[in-house]
Amino acid sequence: MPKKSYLAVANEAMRAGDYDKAVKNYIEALDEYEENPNAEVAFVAELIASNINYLQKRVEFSDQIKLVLDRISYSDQTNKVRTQRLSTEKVSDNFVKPQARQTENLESVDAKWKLGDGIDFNLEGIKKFGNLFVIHGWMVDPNRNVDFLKISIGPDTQAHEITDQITRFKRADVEVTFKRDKSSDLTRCFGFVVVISNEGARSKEKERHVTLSIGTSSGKVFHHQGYYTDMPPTDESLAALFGIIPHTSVTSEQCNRFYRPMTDLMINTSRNPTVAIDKYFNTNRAGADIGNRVPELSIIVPLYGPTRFEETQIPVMAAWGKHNWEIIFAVDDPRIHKDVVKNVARLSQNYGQALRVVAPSVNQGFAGINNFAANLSRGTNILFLNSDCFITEVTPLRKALKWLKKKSNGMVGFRLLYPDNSIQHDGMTVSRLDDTDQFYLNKHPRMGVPVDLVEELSEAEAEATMLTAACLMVRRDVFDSVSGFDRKYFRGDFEDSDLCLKVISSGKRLGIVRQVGIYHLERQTIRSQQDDVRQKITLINSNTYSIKWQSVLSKGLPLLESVP
Amino acid sequence: MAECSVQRASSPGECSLRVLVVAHGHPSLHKGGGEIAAYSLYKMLRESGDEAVFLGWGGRAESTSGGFISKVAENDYMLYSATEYFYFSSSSENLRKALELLTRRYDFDVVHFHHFIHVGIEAAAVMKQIKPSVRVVFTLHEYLGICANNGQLFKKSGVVCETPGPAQCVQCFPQRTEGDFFMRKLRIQAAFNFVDQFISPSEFLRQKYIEWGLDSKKIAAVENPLFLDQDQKPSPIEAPKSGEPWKLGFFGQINYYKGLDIILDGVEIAIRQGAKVKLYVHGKMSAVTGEDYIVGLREKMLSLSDHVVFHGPYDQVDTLELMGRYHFVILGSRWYENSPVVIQESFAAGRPIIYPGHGGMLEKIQKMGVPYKPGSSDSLAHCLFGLESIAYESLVGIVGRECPNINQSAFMNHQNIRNFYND
Repeated sequence: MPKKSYLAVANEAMRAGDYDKAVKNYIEALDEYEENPNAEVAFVAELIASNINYLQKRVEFSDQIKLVLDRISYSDQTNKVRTQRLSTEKVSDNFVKPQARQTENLESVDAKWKLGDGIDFNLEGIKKFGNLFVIHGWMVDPNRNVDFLKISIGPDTQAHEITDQITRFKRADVEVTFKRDKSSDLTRCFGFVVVISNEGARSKEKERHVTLSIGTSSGKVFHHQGYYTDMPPTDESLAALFGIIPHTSVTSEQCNRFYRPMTDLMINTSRNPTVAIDKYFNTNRAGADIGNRVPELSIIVPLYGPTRFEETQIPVMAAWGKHNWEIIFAVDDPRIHKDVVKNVARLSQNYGQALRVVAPSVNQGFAGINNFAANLSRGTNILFLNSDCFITEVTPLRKALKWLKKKSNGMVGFRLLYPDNSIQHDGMTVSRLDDTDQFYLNKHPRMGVPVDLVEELSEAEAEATMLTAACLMVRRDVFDSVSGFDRKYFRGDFEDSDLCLKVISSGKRLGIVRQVGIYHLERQTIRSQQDDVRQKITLINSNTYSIKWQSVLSKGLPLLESVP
Repeated sequence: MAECSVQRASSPGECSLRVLVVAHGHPSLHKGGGEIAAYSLYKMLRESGDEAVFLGWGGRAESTSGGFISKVAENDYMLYSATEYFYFSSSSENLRKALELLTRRYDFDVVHFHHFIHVGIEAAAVMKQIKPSVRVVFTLHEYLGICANNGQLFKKSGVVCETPGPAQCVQCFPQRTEGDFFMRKLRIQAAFNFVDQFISPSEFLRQKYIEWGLDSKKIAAVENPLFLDQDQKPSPIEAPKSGEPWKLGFFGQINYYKGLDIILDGVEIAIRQGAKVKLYVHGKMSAVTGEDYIVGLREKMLSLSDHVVFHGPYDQVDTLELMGRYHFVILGSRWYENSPVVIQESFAAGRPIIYPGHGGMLEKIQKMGVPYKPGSSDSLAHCLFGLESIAYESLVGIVGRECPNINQSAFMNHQNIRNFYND
């Protein structure tokens, strides 16, 4: 079998110290395996990668070696190796091979990588993420000679001009390599990424290529052909794609062109879920009556991840006594469906607590799961309660219910405490990341202050206009009239302030119950997310929020009413 | 309380109660203080004409035949169940099934739980679901609700924990978050909501639970019942003649928290200073607090072999006789203790106690013994050195006067337990 012999030859050459031969044969071996994928592929590719890594340290084959390394990438899902054949073949004569990624090697190969007209260019990757194509690399164009960029996907697809869709960002490594002035602007030396949507892209192996065409002011056109890599719409993929722009800061343009199309895609994959679970537990025993009566209140607790907050919630709720309230656990995580149902069945029976468990067929995210459960719930009022938020005293809920009876009132929040009895939430206020109106943020003005000392704060420090959704009660007609939580935010942060602004804009008042008895552990469920990715997500959501509410926020908001 | 279910045979017209006593262990398997207290209560109830039933944890998650309950003797059962050891939630249906089955058979008026370890924190809640009118009484034997470190209120750094709380708890358990400890407290308090009456064997423990959040009206301090053969009461012993040593007896399980090492060090220092004391150690070495501790104790006892005699485990029926051999019973507990049975036994034997002056020991012993600074072998040595000048006979007299017999009203006798059952 030829592919075996390529590998054997390469290994032999390695042992004999003929590294040139080894590299050539490893590349051949890789080609063979690519065309006939089998279970051994991952193993062989790993072997090649480790040998090549070894070679890289020993000899000057930087260009070829790095090409091979570029080609070897691992897909988490299948553990099969996919390759990224960048410019090893079918490249027009004018096109020069892409540069090595490691900047220390760039200098030596600088001259021969020139594209012409003083342009240096490197395409670092083409990824297919859902129906999106993400194309990224860098370019040095000191005289601004690049006129246009066009792209075509698959053999029959027409080329699309993407010149204006490109997001440029600073690439310090490239600047250093090409000795660009540090003040060099983003028109002459920059990293780039472009996200385009293409529903018609083929998935057949032979049709996976993408052609990028670069036109210069002198009329030349360089074509570059590469193959795209599939990335499933997962958190891991998203984190990797976010990393293309190597900065923790985010601009409004980056949000519009790069980040938001991807987060929107993630959100949209969960649209229109079916009801996977809708079960009642222990309805004939003590606790809430989920009979034919309309409950006064539906309490919705979303569950996500393996933390099992229901095991604490249920005993705590059982201590509330009897109410005409409906308690719904909304499971937003198919991985824990079985576990939650089992736990709830046992705990509801042991503690005599009537409960309902609902779950959508696919992951919804914060806004989605709450809307989903609200839609199934039947109460005249709805309480959205985070799973790590514990109500040890029901008087605040009763006060809120009473206040909401007045038609001009719409929504009530609560004073929330950390376990050490310092304030977690006592109403939110608006702040801005910078001087622009692009990134409004929510601020918790009294956060961290011991509740016993909170009265000592100045009025300005106590001012609050909006409410967190960690524990938030809304009258159903109000919630429905504003169409619930807006789903355009990805993974939290602004759904609550968005809902507040919608309710305020509909002419209803917001109130807050400032009585102790509700505790919030905060963020224990999503602690695992990488910090830098988390920070970017917050900024992307902030930008979405700011664009939507700029005009309202710039005018100022009414203060929260203290609910007696 | 429930209506009168059965007329008492002994005294017609008086009500007999159907009581289930549930314990975290069965005394036929393990004779711990809590197990003995629970079993004594069961026997006392039966002897007083109540229809008592005993259910003790059988040491396993399920019986050898895979079952959840087994019968030991008439009205005496073992429960097979398991809990995790942080929140103490029962992971199986066994607790519920056993309580359901026994309630169907005996239709209890009262269920009296001792401890929630092994049985499950939700025991009271489960019982209320099975029979809402049942009265649930709960005896707390140590600080497990407050402290995850084996309920000892003792920090892993080696000092008693005076102000337990999430911020302090994570020092002992750095792998846990403060949120975990907050939830632990929420869960235990929520489960305690289903209990009608708590009983604490000491006022000290009662106060600790009140500080923690238990309603003071729901918890009473009543000593555990204990049945000792009063005829066995040893005769008084005279203070040693000149040149003879004071004989000190250590009784009970030997582990780090019980502080035998502090006593050995104290004895060593005192002897070096010329005190005449001899220590007799009765009890089982337990590796629950680590093998190293036991090894260290053995070495220490060997090095002090002229002054320390190790007798090993003893049978509870011999306790009074053994205690009668010594001038003092001695305690070394690092932790607060609650109401160690050794104290009651020592008083029954008419012997004063040398003890660390804190927690349940200070409360129970007071002037019926000689206190020293908890954890301090120097303080103990000083105390032992001072025995020469002590009025021993008068101390024994105080023990005799203050504690004429153990069935006084401060202890759990039938009348006062009925008050809790009838409330």
